[in-house]
Amino acid sequence: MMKKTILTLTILLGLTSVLHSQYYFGRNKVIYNQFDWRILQTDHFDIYYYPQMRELAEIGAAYAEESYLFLENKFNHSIHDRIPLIFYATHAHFQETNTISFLIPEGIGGFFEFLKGRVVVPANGSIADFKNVLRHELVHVFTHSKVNRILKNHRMTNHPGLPLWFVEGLAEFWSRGWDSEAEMFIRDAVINGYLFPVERIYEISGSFLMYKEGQAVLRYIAATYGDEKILQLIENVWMSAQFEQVMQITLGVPLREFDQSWIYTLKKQYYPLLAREDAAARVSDQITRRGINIKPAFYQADSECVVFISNRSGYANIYKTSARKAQKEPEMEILVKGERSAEFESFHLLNSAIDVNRQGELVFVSKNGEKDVLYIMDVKEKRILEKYEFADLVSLFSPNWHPDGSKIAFSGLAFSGRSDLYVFDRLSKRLQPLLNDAFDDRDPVFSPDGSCLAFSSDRGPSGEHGFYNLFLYHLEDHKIRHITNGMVQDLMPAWSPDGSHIAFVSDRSGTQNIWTLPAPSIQQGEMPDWSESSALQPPDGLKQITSFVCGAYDPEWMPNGDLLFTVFENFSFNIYREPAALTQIAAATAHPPDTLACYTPQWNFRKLLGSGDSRDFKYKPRFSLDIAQSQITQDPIFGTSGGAQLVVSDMLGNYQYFFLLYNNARTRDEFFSSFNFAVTRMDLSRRTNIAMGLYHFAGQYYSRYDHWFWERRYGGYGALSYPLSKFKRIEASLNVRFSDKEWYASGYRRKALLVSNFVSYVKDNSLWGPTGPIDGTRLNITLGNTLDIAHSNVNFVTAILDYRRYFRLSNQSAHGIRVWTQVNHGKESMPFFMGGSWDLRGYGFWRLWGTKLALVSNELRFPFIDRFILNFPFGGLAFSAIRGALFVDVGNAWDEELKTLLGSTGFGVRLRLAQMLVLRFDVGRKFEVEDIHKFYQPRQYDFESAWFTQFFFGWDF
Amino acid sequence: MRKRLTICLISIMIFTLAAGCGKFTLKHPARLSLAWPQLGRSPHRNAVCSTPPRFPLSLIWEKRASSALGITMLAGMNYVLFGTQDGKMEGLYLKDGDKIGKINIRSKVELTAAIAGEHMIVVKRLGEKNIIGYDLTKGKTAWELSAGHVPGEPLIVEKRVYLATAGGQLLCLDMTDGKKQYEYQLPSACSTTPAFLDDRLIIGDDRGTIHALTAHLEPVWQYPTNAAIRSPAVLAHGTVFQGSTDGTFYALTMADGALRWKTDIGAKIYHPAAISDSLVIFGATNHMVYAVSRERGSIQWRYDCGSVIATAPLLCGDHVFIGAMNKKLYAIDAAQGDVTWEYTAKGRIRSYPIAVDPYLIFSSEDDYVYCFRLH
Repeated sequence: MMKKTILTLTILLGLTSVLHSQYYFGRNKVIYNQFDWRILQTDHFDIYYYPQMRELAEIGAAYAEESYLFLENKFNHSIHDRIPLIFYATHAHFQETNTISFLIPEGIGGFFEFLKGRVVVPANGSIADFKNVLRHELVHVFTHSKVNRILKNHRMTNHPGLPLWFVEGLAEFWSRGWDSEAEMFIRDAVINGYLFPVERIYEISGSFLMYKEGQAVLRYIAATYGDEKILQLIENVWMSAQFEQVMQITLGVPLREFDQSWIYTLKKQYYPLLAREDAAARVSDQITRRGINIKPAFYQADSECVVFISNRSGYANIYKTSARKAQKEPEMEILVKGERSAEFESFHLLNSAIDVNRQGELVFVSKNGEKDVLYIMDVKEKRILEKYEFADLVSLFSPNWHPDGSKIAFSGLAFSGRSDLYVFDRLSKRLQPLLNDAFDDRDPVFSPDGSCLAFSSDRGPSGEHGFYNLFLYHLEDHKIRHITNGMVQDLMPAWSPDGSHIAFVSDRSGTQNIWTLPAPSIQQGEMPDWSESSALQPPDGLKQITSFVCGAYDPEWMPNGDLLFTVFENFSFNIYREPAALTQIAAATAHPPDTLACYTPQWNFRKLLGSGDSRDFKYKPRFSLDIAQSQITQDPIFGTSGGAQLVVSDMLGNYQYFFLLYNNARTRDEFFSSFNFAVTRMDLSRRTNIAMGLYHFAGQYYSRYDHWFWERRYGGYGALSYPLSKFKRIEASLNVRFSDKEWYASGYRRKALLVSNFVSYVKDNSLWGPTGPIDGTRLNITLGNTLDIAHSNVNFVTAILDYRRYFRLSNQSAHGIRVWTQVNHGKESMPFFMGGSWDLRGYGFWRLWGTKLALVSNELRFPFIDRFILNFPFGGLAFSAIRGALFVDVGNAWDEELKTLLGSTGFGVRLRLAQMLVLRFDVGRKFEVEDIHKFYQPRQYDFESAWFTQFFFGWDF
Repeated sequence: MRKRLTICLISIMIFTLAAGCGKFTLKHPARLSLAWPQLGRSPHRNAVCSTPPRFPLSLIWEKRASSALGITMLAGMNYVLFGTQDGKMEGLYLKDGDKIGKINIRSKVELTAAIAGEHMIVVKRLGEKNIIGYDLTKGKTAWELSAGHVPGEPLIVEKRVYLATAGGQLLCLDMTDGKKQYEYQLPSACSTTPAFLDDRLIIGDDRGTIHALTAHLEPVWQYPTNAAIRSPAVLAHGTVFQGSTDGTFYALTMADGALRWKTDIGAKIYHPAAISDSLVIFGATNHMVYAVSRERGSIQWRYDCGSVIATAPLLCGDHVFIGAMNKKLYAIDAAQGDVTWEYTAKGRIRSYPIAVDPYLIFSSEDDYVYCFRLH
């Protein structure tokens, strides 16, 4: 019965509370746009898109069909059902999708959702990226289809399938092959000794490193055993539930031996690199030392400083620090706090640079609500001077100052998904698009004389294959000129202070390093047409000036000719400084110049229109089953109950229906009266999420307050949730139900027609550690009223305040404070319960109750055990990130008068398992404060002599 | 005679389980003569029947097996036998599709079989004692052997059984007692099944090398291709016809492995070909069925089935039957390359179609077996 109580309450509470967030905190998925969805049908796909991105949809359609044929050949498999592809023109739009309920971080490039077989993919301006992500997800589609078929044929319904590292590694390998990004990560892992063998790859499950290692393993298998072996590993999945066994059967070697061979091969490949390449920490001046620190911008204050973006604290902030070499990391000053307010929701950590002009003004972009906003900030005063939002531009990237500070160039992504370069005139407030075509143009930088922009683009001949080269754009006559060419990635140009050279990032040596080329001499009217060029640089012009084993990015010149840049090393990004880089160019080894054929036609994106008669039509929601589950329970005392739950939704996830039906009759006579059902409809298509439903619950219940009682409740409810931003929302609900309740102990029975109204304000910008929040704030204020409008048997008001604040003490430790009070006041007020590991520790779970409660908790959270391994003859168990806590809880629950305060203090240990469950163990002593008016006097605290221990599960408050 | 055979077969299918393997019980021991006793009908794997079909074919029955079939079906005059992917042997009556019976080999491991006279060889893909020899005249297991993972089909030549293991071990066993007569270790792993003709055993390995050995498993010659061989060779007219996953179809002289011709189609070939007097017909993952000249390898016609080709072709008279993953079985005019007839099954066509006059039999995913009348 308790289970049913909990289940019923959970359903009701869950359905009447915030729709996209965990009860009752959580961040919000804000629907800013009402897309006019349409469907483009091709031979194998139903492509969902909106009209503004029609061109992108057609490009995606062509590539999807091309990928389908490619993967049919790879998998020796066809898929019968049409595959839904849902496209978004920008990542900001993608974050609004309802195809999954979770918030989508910026690092997610797309996903395959297997309930409805949907592939959901955003564009980001780069067609190459769009194609890679699309193919990556289609590999998942084929893998899922083929493996399911194999297991079904072998009648293996409980088989775990392929491991995640293999699935993701396969998707990476069969979509990207082996690229410079994978090369960089694996090099770093091998040389710095943190590569995980396949035997232990579960320890990094779900991480980006797992993706890259999986990709590397698949590459090794293809090279050593042949590409067909990869397919055979999939086809042999049925042979064992342990994939290790499948590998041994298929490859003919035990996993341990495979690991040894693979790792040895990598070492042989990468260790010799150290003979000619270096670790940045050995040869350059290291400025930052922990976390992700990128996009440096030089700033001359009283001394040389660097401004950069970092997530070292967990939140991404913009920092300023000294650019001088030091033995340890210098003091960091936060200029802009990100990721905890709507104004600075996201700085696009890895994708957007910042810049500081000679006047000490910082320009950066941040997501602010629906779109990105361009901010200008006075660095010295840490004050926002100006901010600009542009009508059709959803996302902005890498703003760069004109030398005189009057203009800003940046890359912008329009609602249609098209990327272009823009110049914003700060004085006239005029925004000028420059190129107006479908190519992806990024990283614009003004020349020192302001006459032209260098930028990276896929418009060159190799762009058709996803490669980026460098170009110049002359602002006066709008001509474009190649300055590099080839099947390489040339990115992030940076003019030297004297205008003589352009530094840029290129992977032409195998991984990203910093190169330079002489800046072309440009006079107005002398911009050569690119089709006339042959050699793009002078004979000794193209030079590699850094030679790091892993990757270097974001070159930023200092006025004295030193170079700042970011280096990826030891699985982190840090900022380095190379003294006198400008003078080193002359001594660097020259490489052959890039060439370009005299006449190279401009390549075009291939597009595919829909097929058949139903080529293109408006989307209409059609519903299909998401979840169906049933359950039967049998209790020797309470008899048998059974029920079912169904969830259906439309393809876009905007409309959802929940059905719950169960029966808990104990006798045949009770059968019809013991039906319990609930039906809920959710509309998530708009910014205001709306839920409404009907229900009927009847049965015998038990609570510690009411003891045994019988109640029938039926009625309807409505709830809405309006997100003010990602971090704040307002909720409201109305619940009207008939209640017929009989208490067994007293025999009292009452009927009521209850109307409940609640309104809540919720704020949550907390940052989470392994077992709970360690930074930020969570707040819930709820007011409500429950009234019996028919018999006046019930009439009470409700007020809830739950405030939680987390003060960061260090990177992994925090002081958390919780102030919690709940009041029900009036006729037949329902009690609240407290006690247990989740609130007042040391006391039994929900052993205290009253119509009012209050609690203040203080908890110091800190790392306790980094890694704990148990080894047995038959195997081992490893636990990591075991956290410790010191706590003091004080509070109580009461009805009429608060007479005493109860409390506890002690020490706790938390262990997180499998990303979802946190085990908690607390030990301490309980105390009582007899005279609450003298709570400040230590002698009022009467401690119990015995220590308590408490074991439970759940996240930290 | 039919009644006696029926009784024999019913008896064969009465089983008792003992020590992890099935047992046949024969009331009337008999020597069985099968029209289609192993993959490709004969040791040289050329799936050909002389009966010209008359279209449209009429469906006699479709029946659901207990689970998915493998690629091989065996057929006699009145019945069809097959192994399933969850470890059973089943039989259906050709006339009406009624179940003759089934054997549960106890382990849920895919199995396949071949029959010659009184001997049936059952191969479980994995596990201990996975090669089982049954003496049908005595009605019991004659021998068992543990050979490791066997991905291909058994090859029966006279009184010998040839098997290739995934580890590249070639075995020649005495069919009556299972004793190893010869063995040979290929230089790399193997995922297919051998073919045999005129004292030449031909098999490809995972490195793409085509090996020719004698009946005593003595190496004769090797020919390298550029990717794994996943299908058996077909031997006819003194030539080895072999498709490779490198996207090329090869014709080699059986005597010395000299290249006669090769045809590059740019798509992987996973199934064997069918050879007529003038044509070599095969399918590939690019949806195409190709007919190339047997003498020169030049493409005579190709047909786009619209989906990955999932079976070997079966050459019946002047038509070739071939199945694809779009659930269709096609009958293509072997001379012109036009589709004369097609049938849409309930699932992807996965088992190789076989023909026993007057029946055409094949199966699809979702466990269905179909029987058509050829004429």
